[in-house]
Amino acid sequence: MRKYKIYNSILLLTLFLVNIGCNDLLDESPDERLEVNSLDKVSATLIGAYQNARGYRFTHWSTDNVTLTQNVFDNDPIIEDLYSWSRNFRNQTHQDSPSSFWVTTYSSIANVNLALESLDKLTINSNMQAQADAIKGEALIMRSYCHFMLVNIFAKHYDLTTSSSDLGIPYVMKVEDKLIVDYERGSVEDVYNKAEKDLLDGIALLEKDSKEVNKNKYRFTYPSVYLYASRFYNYRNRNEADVEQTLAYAAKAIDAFGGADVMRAWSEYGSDNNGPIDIDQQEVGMVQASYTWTSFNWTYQMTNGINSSELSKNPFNKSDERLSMSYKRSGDIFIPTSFFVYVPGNSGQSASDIFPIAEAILNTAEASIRKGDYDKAKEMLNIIGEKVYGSYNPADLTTENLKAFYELEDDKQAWTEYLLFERRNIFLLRGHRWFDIKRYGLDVEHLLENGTTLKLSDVAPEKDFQIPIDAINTGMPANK
Amino acid sequence: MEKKREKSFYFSENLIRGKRLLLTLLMVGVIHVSSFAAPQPTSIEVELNQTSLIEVFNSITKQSNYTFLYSVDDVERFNNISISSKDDDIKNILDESLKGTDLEYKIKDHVIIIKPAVKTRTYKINTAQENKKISGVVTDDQGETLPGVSVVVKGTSIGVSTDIDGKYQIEVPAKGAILVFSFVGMDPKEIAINDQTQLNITLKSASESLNEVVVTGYQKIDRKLFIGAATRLKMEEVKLSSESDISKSLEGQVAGVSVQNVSSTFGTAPKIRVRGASSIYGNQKPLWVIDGIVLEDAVDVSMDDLNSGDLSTIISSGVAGLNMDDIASFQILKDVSATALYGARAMNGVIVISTKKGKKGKININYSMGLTMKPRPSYDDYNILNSKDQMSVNRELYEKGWTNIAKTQFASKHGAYGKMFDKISRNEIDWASNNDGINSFLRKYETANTNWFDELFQTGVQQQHTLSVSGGGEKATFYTSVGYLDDSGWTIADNVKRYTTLLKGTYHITDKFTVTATSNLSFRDQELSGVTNSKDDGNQKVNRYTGRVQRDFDNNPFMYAMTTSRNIRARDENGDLEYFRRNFADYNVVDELSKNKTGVKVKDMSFSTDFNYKIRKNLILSSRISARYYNAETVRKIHENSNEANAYRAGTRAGDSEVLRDANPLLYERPGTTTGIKYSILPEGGIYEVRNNNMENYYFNGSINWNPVVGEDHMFTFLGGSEIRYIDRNFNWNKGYGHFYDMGNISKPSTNYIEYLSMGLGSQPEDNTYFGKEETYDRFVAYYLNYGYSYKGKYTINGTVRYDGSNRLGKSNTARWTPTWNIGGKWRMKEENFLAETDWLNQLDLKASYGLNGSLGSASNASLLAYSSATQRPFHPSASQLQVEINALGNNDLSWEKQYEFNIGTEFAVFNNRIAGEFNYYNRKGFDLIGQYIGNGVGGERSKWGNVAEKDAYGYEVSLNFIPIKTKDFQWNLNFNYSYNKSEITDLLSTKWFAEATSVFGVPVLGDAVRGIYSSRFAGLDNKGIPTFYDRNDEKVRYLNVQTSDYSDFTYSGSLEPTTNVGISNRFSYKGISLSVLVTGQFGHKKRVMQDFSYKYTDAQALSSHLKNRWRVSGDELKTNIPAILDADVMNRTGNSDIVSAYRLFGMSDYWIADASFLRVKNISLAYTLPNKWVTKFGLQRARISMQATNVGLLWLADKEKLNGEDPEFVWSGGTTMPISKQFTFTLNVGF
Repeated sequence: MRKYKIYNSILLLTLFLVNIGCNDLLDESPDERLEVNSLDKVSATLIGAYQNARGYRFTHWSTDNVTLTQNVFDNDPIIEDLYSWSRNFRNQTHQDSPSSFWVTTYSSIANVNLALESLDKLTINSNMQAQADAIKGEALIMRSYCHFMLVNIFAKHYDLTTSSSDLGIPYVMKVEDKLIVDYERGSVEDVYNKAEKDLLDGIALLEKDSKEVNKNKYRFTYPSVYLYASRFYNYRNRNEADVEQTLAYAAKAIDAFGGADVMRAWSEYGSDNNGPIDIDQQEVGMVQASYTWTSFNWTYQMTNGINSSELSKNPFNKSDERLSMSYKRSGDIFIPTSFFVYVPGNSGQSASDIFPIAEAILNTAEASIRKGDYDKAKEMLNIIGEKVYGSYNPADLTTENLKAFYELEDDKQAWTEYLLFERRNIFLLRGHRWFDIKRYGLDVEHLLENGTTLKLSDVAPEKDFQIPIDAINTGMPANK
Repeated sequence: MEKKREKSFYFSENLIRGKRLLLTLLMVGVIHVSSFAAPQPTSIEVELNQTSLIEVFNSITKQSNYTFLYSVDDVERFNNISISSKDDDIKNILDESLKGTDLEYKIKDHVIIIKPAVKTRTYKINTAQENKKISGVVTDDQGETLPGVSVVVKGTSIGVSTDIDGKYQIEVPAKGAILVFSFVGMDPKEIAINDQTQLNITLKSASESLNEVVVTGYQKIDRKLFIGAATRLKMEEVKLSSESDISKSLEGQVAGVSVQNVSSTFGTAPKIRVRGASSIYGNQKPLWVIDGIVLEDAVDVSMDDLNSGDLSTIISSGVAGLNMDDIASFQILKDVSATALYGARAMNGVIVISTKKGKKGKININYSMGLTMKPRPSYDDYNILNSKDQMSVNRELYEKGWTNIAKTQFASKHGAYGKMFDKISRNEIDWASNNDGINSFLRKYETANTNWFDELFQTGVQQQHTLSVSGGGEKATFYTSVGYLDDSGWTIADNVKRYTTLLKGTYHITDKFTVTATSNLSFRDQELSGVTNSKDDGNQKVNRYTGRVQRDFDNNPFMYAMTTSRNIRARDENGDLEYFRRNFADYNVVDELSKNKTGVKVKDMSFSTDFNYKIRKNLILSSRISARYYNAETVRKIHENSNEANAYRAGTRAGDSEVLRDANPLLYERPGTTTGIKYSILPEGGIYEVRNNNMENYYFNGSINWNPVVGEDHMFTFLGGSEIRYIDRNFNWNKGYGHFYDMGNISKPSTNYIEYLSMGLGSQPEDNTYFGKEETYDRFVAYYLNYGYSYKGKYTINGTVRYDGSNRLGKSNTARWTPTWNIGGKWRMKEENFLAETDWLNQLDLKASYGLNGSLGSASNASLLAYSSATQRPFHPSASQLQVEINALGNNDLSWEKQYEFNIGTEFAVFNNRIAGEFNYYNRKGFDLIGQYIGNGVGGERSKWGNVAEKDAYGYEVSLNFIPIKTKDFQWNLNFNYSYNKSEITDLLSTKWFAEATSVFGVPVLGDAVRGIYSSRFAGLDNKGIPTFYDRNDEKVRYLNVQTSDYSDFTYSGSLEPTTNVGISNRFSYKGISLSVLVTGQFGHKKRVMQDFSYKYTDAQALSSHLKNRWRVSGDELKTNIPAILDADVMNRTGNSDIVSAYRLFGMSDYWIADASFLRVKNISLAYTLPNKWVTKFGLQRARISMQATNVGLLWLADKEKLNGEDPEFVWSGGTTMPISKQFTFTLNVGF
């Protein structure tokens, strides 16, 4: 009988063992998923927020840089919808669709929020405090920037009189943890306020210890942080204070780049394969890749016609280096080089500098023009002129010449006209033109394949892209 | 004889021995049985006064594990037995209690048989005829003697019954007498008497369904008290000797089980669905259980992945390591009541395999051998242009400007024309002076008519040998087997060897304590053609524009034969291998298959030990511990001189043209240079790529089984327990670029390769590194309780509650646990008084069950999923950093997939069991099914995994068993099973792009099937011979956007999975010969026909004979739907940009949807059991030979014209896939 008892107890023991420690057992992680529980992982999470697949370069097709080509017959719904400012995109998953931009940008925001939430849970030693501050600062700036671009694409432009009631976009400060979450769109004002707070908090943290600030130009670095701040105030342009902020941050940016002189002559790009995105060059702010179909053989594309009738028409009648080299494409498509660089291989991915020094220079010029400080504007525009025009003569840039060239009476108007021209040419194919059209209330007329024309002011007077159909389907208020 | 109701209870677990006998007796109800079984008791206490003999027996059975077998009529007369014995031997007690009765006993195998002591009852023969005496022994098919068998002279009332040793003696008329041997539950036997005086008879049990236990893996339950829907298959009845994988034997065998053989390659699992798919995106595979232990997937290959032809498919079949000869039976558990004990894993049904075990008695040695031949395929079965017709198409291609010197320079592939132009460009053919050179060159190929099937296929020979030894004594039994399988291959590239062994021992350590130890080992060594994985396109498994599975370097011999022009020759006039260009390098398929191979080695070991401890006779404690170790090593071996290796450097080698360099997409450009020069990542050497899948699996289970009986009529059962599962899976891979096979297996990677990796240009992280690993950890805990009550076995209710916990969903305390339950009832109507007299009715059971079961879905994002990777910095590799990306946002509400199931069914048998059958109807409501919720995207994901889908399904299953003819020597069994399943997804959003919806993978369809196929709507050819389609406004267009999840322009073509499955099996047996024919059928599903129409072709392509009817001149569009070959310059004209789209849409159109319904003669087998008198001469116990023909042919095909030779079950994915083939098998089975 004794023997039985032994067996008996073995069996009972087995049963007992089976019954204990189950929750510990189930706490085991099912795979190699990460818990963001160290400063290194927080930093890596922030790095993951910088996506390299979608940018805002798709707005190119909505601008006046694009028209109906000749002898090119390839079309695609995404190109046609962008070109005709569709309020209901047929292909909502295409990489160049506004809805893709929406999802990707919010995905960056989720990464930022994960980094911030994880950082809050860490205990930071005093010797890691500076690093933690730099990471947090960069994260807040990234969050601000992402929302800023979203509100500029999906909402009406900031307008002091109406922005508190204009529909904004959800400003997200928490990682989603439920299947279904409804968000308020808030107002444009609201988004700008939150973005400004994140931006300023971020800058304050970054300025605590400059050694800790990131140097990798695929992320925010000192010049691009200031340049973004300058862009922020330049776009908002609510009052004189904003103009001053634009100037101040642009100056800080230029300083951080190493002075306006670091901008290379456009002709130098010809001998540098990485040209405008060579991160070893001081002029480069922040490189971002995207799969945007900017340069393919589409029936709506930048053309030789646009080049000759608009882009080449500078007030000085000089040759513009920016337009001198171009890709060979079908028909009369005109694709100048050096605005982006193709990734080797067959992926169709291309990279561009989304915060080049030129923007800081032009922001200074723009704010100066707003202030009526044309000397400063001239100084800035001359820097650009010398880099991009052949045998440029700074003396040619005068208020009188501009007024005569643009046949305008008003000094400011003439300078603004020229500024917008320079901005248009230096940011070709990079999507900036769309925001200038929006900010300055310009109109665009597009000629369609069937011979009819469409006017932007008729189709989308607010110059906003419709929010994704999936968001509308979940009950989010749509744009008009 | 007056019929008595039996009173018995059968929840006892170890009811195996003697059970069959008992149960058959019970059926008729004349004999009373009480049964409890356990190891040998030694001593029993009985103290009874003036009681009935039945009480005495009951008292004994309650204390011991003996089972009594007696006729109530014999025993109930004795009501005044007094007995008093303490700790006495059973024999003494029996002697005492039977004293003074006219009864005697015999103990056989724990069964105590009580019989009248009359040795034989001889009846006087009342005729004056000359008589003779016949005597003999009657045994059952297990060799056990049968007492009480009635032996009657046919047509007379003369008869005797066998004694307790199964012996009989009877006087019969000297001439023309026929003896009828009959016994309840056994097939009667009639023997004509000629000269015999000694006649030994073996009776076989009448119908399998009568003596079954249902093996659920946790319990063994008497079929009569079992409530759920379950089907048992005996291995010998379903075995397809030619198949090495048992899962393929299930086709058409069980109502409610659908088996689609998507590929015949060894190791690939068929698509098995029990009662249709329960889940939408989650696991849809049934659970395999071997001897009570769940067979965990070593490699997770989803039902969809089975279509892909990827490397992982050859290790997708979990049961490929099991030797069919080691398997005794299958039990397929279908409804929630049957599967309840598996709780939240059982939503897709459970297939329980019982392996063979040793029996007490003398040692049994068994050898079986199977020899299978697979004839090579033939062009007669397919629809491909012969060489001459193909050449005329080539000429048209040339005339239309598709092949010329310039174009062939940078073509990746050459056929005859390409080769010609290549030679012209090298001045090897004189083109300028006259056409003779060209004509004689082309003529060689025009007449080549290469038979690729002859070149690449052979008559496959597969041999399987199994030797098993089993036996045992009182204290231990064992079963040992070794198996060897050798398949020399159907193609010149494949072969398999598999070694298996099963060792099983059962040890009765004490009367109460039993241990069973099993180890099962298998090793597989397989080789097949070089396979690359298919390419994802934007997270779709197919090309986003064409809906086709895409892969680089596909050397699949079948695909090659089907898609390569017959103008291309394998060998030239001198018999030397002839090379044509493919992937920009020289290619000869025969050569390539010898240099580019996939090797698979699988080592699978499992060990398990069962402990059984009988605390009291109705209280059993058991425990099961098992461990399994699995390793599958898949190797791609690409020799340095192979085409694949050379393709990586085509254009960079000395003498290569720059044109080739610019065209070769495998070369890469170095960022930071402006020269435009491209480099090779493999300037020399070949590739050695290893993928290792490892699994460690541990399982512990402890349970208590208590079966109290209150009074005589109330029987209860309780089974409670808990289990733990622990699985670590580890997948790692290495890519060796620059490997030299012929130089002693050394690797010399190029700096280019490292540079290329560091640029991070690949779309997936694993494309950017040479090593990688993934680990998953699966932890699982469950508690369960099964309870049942039966009143006299007439009314039974049974239920289970179970509580499962898993770590798979992520760290969330709410998501990880889920309860499941069920309740069922059964009414055995035949046991009621009002049916007792209905002789024609043998069985009528009604049963119903309802319950909840579940399945872990595919999602694991109860908490946020973050993974790390390296940032892609092609221009600046040094700027690359590690990043953490959110793979899936957390969903706190995530829970298991669940399903309510209601099942109602009946089982019946009439006319002496000549017609028996079962009918089940079920209704399933799946909820909390996991799918993609498409939200506002503000969280950062377009779609999130969550419990979003619901699904309704219903279906019914009929299985009928007829015995239309049954004579002394001849019997015809007809078995028919039919099942219908209709599923409807009631809530789900689609997120797949259209292309995938047109493919073999299909998409879930709201309001319909779990996997349905979509099509563009073909609107005929236009007046240029270009296909047109209807758009959403029913206008004819050439262009439709396919990169969209908005399907408005398209039409739903139907389900990819059959709604109806049919199996009809006929078995004829005449003496030792039996012939069986199995016909299987699937109905109600669609298939996209493989075709490849384009506006242009290459001269290397095999073209469909449909092309003979192609559009040629205006007006043909009224006569044909086969589009034109266009002029090359047509593509460069205004408004023609959509032509490419039109030809692609044609392949995705409803025109190429075929009804895939079919009836197939799955198997014909002829077996002959050699007569004993012959066999014994050779010193054998038994011998059986059989011939089988498998996949004999299609009896009926719904859409024969469109499918045109294509097998309706086969999917065209290349890679590892091979169509199912005809097989002829010879098997020999001998016992020593």
